[in-house]
Amino acid sequence: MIISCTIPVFFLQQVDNSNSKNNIKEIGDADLHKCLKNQKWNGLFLKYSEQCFACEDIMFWNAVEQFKSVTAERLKRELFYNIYRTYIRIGAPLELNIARREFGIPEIESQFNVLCKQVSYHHETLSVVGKSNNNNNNNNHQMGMSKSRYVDLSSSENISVRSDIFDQVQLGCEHNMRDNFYRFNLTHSEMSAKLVRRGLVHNDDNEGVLFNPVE
Amino acid sequence: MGNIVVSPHDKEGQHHMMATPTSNNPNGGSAATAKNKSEITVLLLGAGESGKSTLFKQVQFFHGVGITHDQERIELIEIVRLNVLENAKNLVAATQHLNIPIEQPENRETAKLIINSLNTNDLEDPSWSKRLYSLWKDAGIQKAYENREKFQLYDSTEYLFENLDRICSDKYVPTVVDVIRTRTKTIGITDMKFDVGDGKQLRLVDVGGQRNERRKWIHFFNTVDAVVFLTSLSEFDLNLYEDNGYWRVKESLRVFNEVVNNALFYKVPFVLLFNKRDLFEKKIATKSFSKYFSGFNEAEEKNPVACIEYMTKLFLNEITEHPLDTVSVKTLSAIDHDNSKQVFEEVKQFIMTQQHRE
Repeated sequence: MIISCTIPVFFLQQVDNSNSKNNIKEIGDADLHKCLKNQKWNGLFLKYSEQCFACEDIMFWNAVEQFKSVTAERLKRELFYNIYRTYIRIGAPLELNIARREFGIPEIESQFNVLCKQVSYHHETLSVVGKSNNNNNNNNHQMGMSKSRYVDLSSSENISVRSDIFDQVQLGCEHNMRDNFYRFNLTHSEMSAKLVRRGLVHNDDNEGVLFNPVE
Repeated sequence: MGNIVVSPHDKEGQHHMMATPTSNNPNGGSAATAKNKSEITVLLLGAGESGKSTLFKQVQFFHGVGITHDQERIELIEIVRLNVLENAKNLVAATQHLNIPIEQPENRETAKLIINSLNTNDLEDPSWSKRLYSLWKDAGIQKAYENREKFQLYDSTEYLFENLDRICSDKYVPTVVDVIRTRTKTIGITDMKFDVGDGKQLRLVDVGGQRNERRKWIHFFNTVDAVVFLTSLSEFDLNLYEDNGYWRVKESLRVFNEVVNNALFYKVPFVLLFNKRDLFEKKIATKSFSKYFSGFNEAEEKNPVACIEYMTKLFLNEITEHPLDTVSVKTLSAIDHDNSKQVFEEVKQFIMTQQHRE
């Protein structure tokens, strides 16, 4: 029930790579998508990005893929909650570099607040059983915030989180990745060129080369 | 500076355009630096869109780093065209936000396509050059552009729209100037090294400037030999990208204060660069500078020298800890190749002289 912030990274196997053999000639975004949707290259790109202190966009991207693949409402709420706290919240441990008034962030924020309100209200009514219930809900969502990941979201049963709520942020992250993806790509095409020159890899062996330059 | 087209057949073995991380662990370099003073690490710091990466790219170019790979060129085409689309989208969104109608019906059609479906591959078709240019010249879009301080827009907008005929073609090859003018938000940290004579190497470190990015800077603070802090002169009427209710100048001053007074930098030469002087001079010709600074004499507001002097005072007032004789202040137009070269040379000399004094 409690899902730690780092788990989404290990859910890569759920990333769909069935269409990675798609050979439509496209450049740019298509390459980045191919890389992200392929488990091996996703891992390599993530590793590269960690070295240049830029891993949050890929980790978020992966977390959202997992979030979108989940159908159970309860798990979805939990993932939503963790993603918000890990990447979106101001001061979050892996806060993304995105404009806060765009990318549907205001909607995500209000969804988070609704979720927290429900949860903390539930907690509070439990804790005041037997006492006079003066139902003060001023500090409700503060409580939800400080409850950190141990918050029990099972009480928010009537709340449904939209599967596409993070889509715009995910697009923004793809944008953010472009610069580093570009360098990552160069590093790999250089490395593979060296290997080919030394005769370690055959030219037609795809091991070292992510994408062939457009013919 | 004219548009230099980088030859598609550069020599093999030349450096490529973008730097790669030179070591897996940036902190790993610290022990080596302490023992061996042959490497001078210079940090480029500053808030978002102050021009750190533009200067970084300029330094790469005048140290012989060029666009050499086919793959590189393809990626650069993509980046330039993405910039065109983003600029167009931002402008169209602004007309809606500011309630300024796009006047011509055919431009409204173009705007719809931009928002809904246009992608970078479409821009290979030269017909888009005309359509986008016509949209750009639409009275509604121009009015939004005049009010660009009210929303987020890149400095490259005008340049890119004026060069659409080259960009929207299947023969498009990005020029050095295109690469310099293109805005790419830096995420994380990159560096490059080059020789500066006397068997010494200069390692230039470029970082992202938005709030979340600044938390990453600290990884480099221990290994620093000099800091170059950039701030944009032309941001006086702008708010932050990451927090649209916060004045950019206030943020720059705050970040400058934190960096310059950091105990780790007491003994380190410090350069403050007032960037975007070109844009600034254009801007004060039409916009009021004194409106934003109550302490500034209104009669002087069309005089760039007086304005820059005022800004300099504002920034130097923030220095409480750092010895003033190791602080140097300069102005810069980072998009101008010759100016960048000259200013960076001066910065390098200042840093080397200071190092020598130690």
